[in-house]
Order: sequence, then structure tokens, then C-alpha cells
Amino acid sequence: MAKGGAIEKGMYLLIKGEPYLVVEREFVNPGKGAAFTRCKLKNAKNGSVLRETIKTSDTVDEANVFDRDAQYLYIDGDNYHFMDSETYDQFEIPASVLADTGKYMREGETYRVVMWESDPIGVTIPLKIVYEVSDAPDAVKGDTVTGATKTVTVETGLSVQVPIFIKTGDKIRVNTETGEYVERVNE
Amino acid sequence: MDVRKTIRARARINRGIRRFFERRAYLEVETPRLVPDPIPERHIRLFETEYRHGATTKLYLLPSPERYLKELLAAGSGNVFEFARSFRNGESLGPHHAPEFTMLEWYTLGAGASDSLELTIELLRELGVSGDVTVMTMCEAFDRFAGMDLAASLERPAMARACEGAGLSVGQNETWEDLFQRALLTLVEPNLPRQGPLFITHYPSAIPTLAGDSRDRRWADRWELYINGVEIANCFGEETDPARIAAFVEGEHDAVRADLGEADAPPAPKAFLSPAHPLPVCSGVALGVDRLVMHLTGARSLSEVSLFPLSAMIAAQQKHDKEA
Repeated sequence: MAKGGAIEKGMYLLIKGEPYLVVEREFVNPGKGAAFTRCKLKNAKNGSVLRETIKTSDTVDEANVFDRDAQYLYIDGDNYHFMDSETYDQFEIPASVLADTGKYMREGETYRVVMWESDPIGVTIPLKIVYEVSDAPDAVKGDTVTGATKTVTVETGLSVQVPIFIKTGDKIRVNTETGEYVERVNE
Repeated sequence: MDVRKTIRARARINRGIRRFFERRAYLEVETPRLVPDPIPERHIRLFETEYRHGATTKLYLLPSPERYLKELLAAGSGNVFEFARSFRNGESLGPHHAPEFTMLEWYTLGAGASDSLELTIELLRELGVSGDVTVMTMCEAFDRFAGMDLAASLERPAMARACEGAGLSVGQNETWEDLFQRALLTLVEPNLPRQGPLFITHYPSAIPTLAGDSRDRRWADRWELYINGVEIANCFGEETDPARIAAFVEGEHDAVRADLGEADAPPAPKAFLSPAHPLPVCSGVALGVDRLVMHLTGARSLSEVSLFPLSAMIAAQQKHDKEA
């Protein structure tokens, strides 16, 4: 149980028997009225979005989630396949559940998988990940405007907007929450 | 924002506000912040302290200057305005909330909410707020943004059905007002137009406030101003009937006592705007100065326009405590 006022981004709530991830939360308190927490929630099993406004004085149920380490193997269209690092059990997570998280994952890498009851419902990935640029078009000649960008593709197939000086083979750091380029990494 | 820029911006805006009201012969007044018997309001939690003078007296920091500005009006002050430091407990720190803030409040004798609306537009223009002004009733806002017929949902059962129809959760113990607020905050507020000042008028009279009724008694003579989706000001054509003011104070005091318990509820004011000292016909506006400064400077959070943000002070103290 948690107070409506203590809801935080990243928490899992249990609503009508289903686990929901808190994607956004905002404290709202009208000058004349009770205080509420306005939340954007994502159903952790099917990815559907729910907007809820909860009184800060009300209590909500937290979903009892736990983590396990698992290696990401491959995607077969609609499902991401994983292998548990301890038991070597293989399991899959629907693409709709992972949504944007999936496109940042790298095959062969181990991630923390969030479990609810016996179902995997999410994957925790680092906020910033370094990728190698696999395909970068040449900058258009004469395009010297400050802040000019172009689109490159990285090893996992992800497209990223980067400054025009980035070349194929460069390593770049990407923010996995916004999908934005952070910096070039020199190793 | 650079702190020197913030100092200059705030000084310029305060000067603009003072000039605006002084040209119109409003008197600037200063009323108490620390008092023994604030106006009870069920949704507002107060900061309390103790005055030790041989005996001890419990005192409270006021959440707005309304109480004493109205006492001044009843005593014959004429039109007044005040920059009032105001205090509200129990609110999360966030981009639009801080427990200490500056409220500009002004009262115009003989005026209703629509007169205050016109004056507020003049003030905003003079301070440099641009964009088309939109005025809509709460009923229109519910129709447009929530697809709900508010006029047909002024009783709890109808409101519960409308909320369920719109996909909102309805708790068994929730009041009509809880459901109204949830619909407003979930469906209406996030979708309000953001290009210029937006006035939402005619709030349901079912929300207990010190606003008088409009001609249609289902709706209060009240509006709120939103800029860029953020609530900036609240206005009442003020309730002047001493019996209805007393009933409001009693109702709110009962609600606060039910919430906090008899011992922890602050005492209610005695003889506030009683028949011997009635409030003259007037309209009052309370405007959040910090939020307005945010808008005028393009800041995204209150802490950017505060010279000493509380969030930073608390963080520094916590760091210090941890290291000690």
C-alpha cells in the first residue's frame, strides 16, 4: 500500500488486478480543491495506457514485483526472447509490453527483467548506452549551420539524430529515455 | 536563470503591478501573516507555530490574505491590493508548487467577477502577457474536453455515471466534488488551449467557496485564469450575506475537525464579516505572482524564478546531515 501522494515514476501499481507501471506523475493541487497525483500508467502486461488522477490522501496497492537477470537472445517479430541467467530457462516478452525499451537492447546482453507473479512484465535498461555507428551518411556539403544534424544507424538497427561530424565506426552515447544523442565517446 | 536576471525580472514585474493599481487609486496594504484563527478551508493544511509569552498561544501562517483584506473592506478601506507571502503545508515541491509563495490579491468595490476579468486582462497586457484571450464557462470546457454534460451532472449519481462513461475510476466513498475534480484534472485541464490567457468562468456552486452565486444559482460568480495550462489566478464576485459566510466557515471548520480531530483543528474566526461588519459588494482576485513571473520569463519551474528555492535549501541540509 502507498499513499497517492507518494506515487513515484517507475513504481508498479496494482489496479483492478493488473500491474501498471507509472510512466509519468505530476502533483496537482487546485487553489480551491483537494490535492491529487495525476499519473500516466502503462499496463505492464499489454502496454495499454491509462490516465488516472488519484487523491494524495487515498491509498493505492503496489504490485509485488521482483527482478531476475536474463540474457536477451533475439526478437522474432512480436516477441523478445530471453534466457534466465541462473536457471537457463527461456521465456519471451511481447513487443507491445517492452515498447520503446526493446529497441535499445543489444543481443547477447544481460538485463534485469521485472517479474510479476510468474510473468515477465518489463526490462530495466541503463539510462545511457554506448553504441557503434554502423551507417552514417556523409554530411551534405555546405551544410555548416550550427546544430545541423543527420540520421545515423547503430549496430542494433536503431536510428539516432546526431551532429554532422559523426562517422561510421564512431561510438556514441544515447539517452534511452528520450532516444537523443548525448556525446561521442573516445576510447 | 542567472540570479541577477531573476532579481531584475521580479523587480520589474512588481513595479508594473504597483503602478497599475496606484494609477487606479487602489491602496497598497499589509495584513498579518501570523494569526490565531484563520478562515478554515478543508483542502488547505496550515503551518503552525507557538507564541511563547509566559503563556503559549498557537498561531498559524496564513495561506492567503483574504481574511484581513475583507476585514479592511468591511471597515471602509476602499479598493485595496496586497503582495502577500502565503504558506501552504502538505504540498509536494514541484514545478508549480512551493509551500511559501507570493500571492497578489486585490479587491474592487461594487464589482462582480466579470468586472474583475476585464481589469485582469488590462493588467496582463500591461505586464507583457501576449496571445489571444479565451473566455469559456466550465460547462463549455467539460463539453469540449471531457465530452461530459456538466449541467446534467450536478448531483453525485449523474456525475458518477458520466465519469464511468468517460473511463474514470469512481470510488464508493468519493463525493461529488472528488469526482468533479478528477474529471477536471484528468480530462479537461491537460487539454486546455495554451496559446494565450484562458478564463474559465461559472464554476459549479456545489463547490463550497466564499464566492456568491451568478444569476443562475447553479453556478458561482467565479473564474479561474490559466496561462499555458497552469492555474494563475482565482476570482470571486464575493459572497456578502453574513448568514451564508457563517455557514461556509462552519461547514469548512466541521470538515477540518473531521479530518484532523478536534484537538488539532485550528479555531475558526469569531464574528467574521458579521451583520455588524458586513462585507460591501465587491470582487476579489488572487494571483500567483511566482507563476506569472515564470510565464513572463519563460522559466519552466518555480525554483528557477525563486531567489532562494526551498528545494535547494532542503537538499543542502540533507547532504549536510548525511555527512555529519
